[in-house]
Amino acid sequence: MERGEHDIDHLLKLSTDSSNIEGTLIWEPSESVSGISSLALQGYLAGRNVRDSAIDSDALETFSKAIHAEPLVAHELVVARGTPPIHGDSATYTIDPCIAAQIERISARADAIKAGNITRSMIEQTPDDGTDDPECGHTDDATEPSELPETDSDESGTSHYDQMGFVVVQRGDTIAHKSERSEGVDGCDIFGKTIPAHEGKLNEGFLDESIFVSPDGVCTALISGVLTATDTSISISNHLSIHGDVDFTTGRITFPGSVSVKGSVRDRFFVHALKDIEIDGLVEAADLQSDQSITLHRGMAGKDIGQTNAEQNLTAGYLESVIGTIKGNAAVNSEITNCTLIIRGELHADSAALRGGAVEVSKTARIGSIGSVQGVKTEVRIGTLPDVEKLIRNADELLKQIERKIEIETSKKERMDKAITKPTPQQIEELMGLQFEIDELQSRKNDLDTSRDILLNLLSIHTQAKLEITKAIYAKTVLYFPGYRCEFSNDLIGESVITIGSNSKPTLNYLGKSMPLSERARIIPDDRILKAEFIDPDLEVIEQIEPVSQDGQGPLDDMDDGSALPNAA
Amino acid sequence: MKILLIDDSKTMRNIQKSVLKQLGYTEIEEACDGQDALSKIGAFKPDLCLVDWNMPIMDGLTFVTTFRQTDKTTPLIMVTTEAEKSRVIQAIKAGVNNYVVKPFTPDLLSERITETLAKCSVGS
Repeated sequence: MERGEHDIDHLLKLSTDSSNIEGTLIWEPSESVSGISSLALQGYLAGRNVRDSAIDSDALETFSKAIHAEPLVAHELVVARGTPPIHGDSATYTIDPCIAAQIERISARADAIKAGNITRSMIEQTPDDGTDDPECGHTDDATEPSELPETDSDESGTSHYDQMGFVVVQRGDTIAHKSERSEGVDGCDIFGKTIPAHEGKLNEGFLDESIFVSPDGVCTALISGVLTATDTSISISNHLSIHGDVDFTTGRITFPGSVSVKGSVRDRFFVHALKDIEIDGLVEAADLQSDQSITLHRGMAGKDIGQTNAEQNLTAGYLESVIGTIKGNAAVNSEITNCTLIIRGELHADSAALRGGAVEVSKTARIGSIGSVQGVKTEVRIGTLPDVEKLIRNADELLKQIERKIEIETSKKERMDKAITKPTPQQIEELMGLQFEIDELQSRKNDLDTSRDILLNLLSIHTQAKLEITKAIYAKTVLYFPGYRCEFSNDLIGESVITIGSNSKPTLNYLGKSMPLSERARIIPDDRILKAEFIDPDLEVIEQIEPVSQDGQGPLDDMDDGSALPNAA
Repeated sequence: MKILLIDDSKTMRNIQKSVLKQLGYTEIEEACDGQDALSKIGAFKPDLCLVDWNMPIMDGLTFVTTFRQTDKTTPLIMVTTEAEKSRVIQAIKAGVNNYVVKPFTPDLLSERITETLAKCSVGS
């Protein structure tokens, strides 16, 4: 060190933060301030590899002045600053405005229901029957149908029943828009070292596999179902799970997948689903419709208007005053009371009591008991397929008409033939016309005969007139079998099986002993159910037809009128 | 293959149409007399005509004569109750290619149509 120069290194200290973004000079108290200037301080910093561009000259000047003013006091000041990195933004997903509006509407409605601004009693203006308040517990006591309101709408015309409490999207709908992540900009510390920026997160787990993201960021539903959107994910499920009741909170449900309900389905609501429906609680006078199967763990009290329709099977604890068509099998545990049911498959109700109402079963029915000790009139039709039978009856009627017409035309031609010895050109043409007409009618008759045979074959394959009883058939029960009406005026207690015997008449196997049913019931010929006696082995194609196909569209679906008959006109 | 049926009787046209459909011909036009037929020929351009003899307004023979003045090739079959030999000859002279006498059976009409088309080399 030369004369007049002072070593300042022992008086100063450079401190940095963990990232070296800020450099702070610290002055240890000393009387020796000679040689302290902003230039000297800059040199001090340069000697410690602090890059020029990071040094704050003004701060150095301030620091220098402060030292000179109070050298015996400790000083410290940030005099160098690096550039912090700018980290990249993560990928974000913005819900499509239409869906966002739906979510908002549903949320507002849910809040209004919670706050008591929308209640069933407000909408329906009916006397409280104990089931009206959604907060109340459920009751099994059915209200009379007359108590149900005729309209679903309030004064503003809004149907509160139809406000579904879920966002249901269809395959192909736009769900959201994705903004890609950004890489960020690197920073630099006071010594010139690069501080790398963090890239934004991809957030790949934000969407599940039910949503497709196109290169331009449009997020599209790959399946139809219920949309769930949270702060951390968006997903679509084709299973709708309702933890409470189907009521004003959920609204009426039309869903493109399966639906499960932990609670009940309240009066006038409905659940329509393309797949299975499963309900743990009670179903009131509601409407259930599934393109597959329905399972009611508890049961349904339909109040004579509630409907349950399944393209496949039905399983229920009990059914009371329910109307329904089941295209597959039905299984009922405890009772079927006052129901109007059409079951195109089998009925499995081995331990159930079937009381009142009218039940049609196309195939075997296994029932605990039919009717009641009190003598409730109960009607059961076994081995019937009404749609096909209707077509056969239509065909029979048309055949009669055609045969009558053939008879008239033939007789007319015969009379002409006899009366004319040498026909004129006009008469020749007239006779040809008559013959042509007869041929045409005959051809139509043949087509119709074939159609009728096919239908009979169909009826034969898809029906089975067999009734198995495990407990009793009570008096006032009326059973219909193909060709017969069987009236019971006395109870038949114990196991019994009724089938159509080889003589085409109902036979009874009672407590292991076979006998004509006429010994226990009054048997009256009745063609309410057609006999399906005919099977033409040549009509093999029909044997391949299942009553209900995988997609729920059976061959019978197209035959609800006479249109399926060839040449029916 | 386009076929024009010319007959004043709708029943006869229906009978012929029925036979033609059984033979697989589906492009069929109808005319109720010779004049009606002439008015339809330009647009329909038939490959074969079945013509009745006795019709109001313009009979079959007049139609054949008129038609042959401009069209020598399209096959014509006379379908008529006129069974006398002299009438058949008259029709053939006028230009018909074949002759079917009413009452005919579907088989006979079918046979004559096939025969005529083969002779005139018009494929179906």
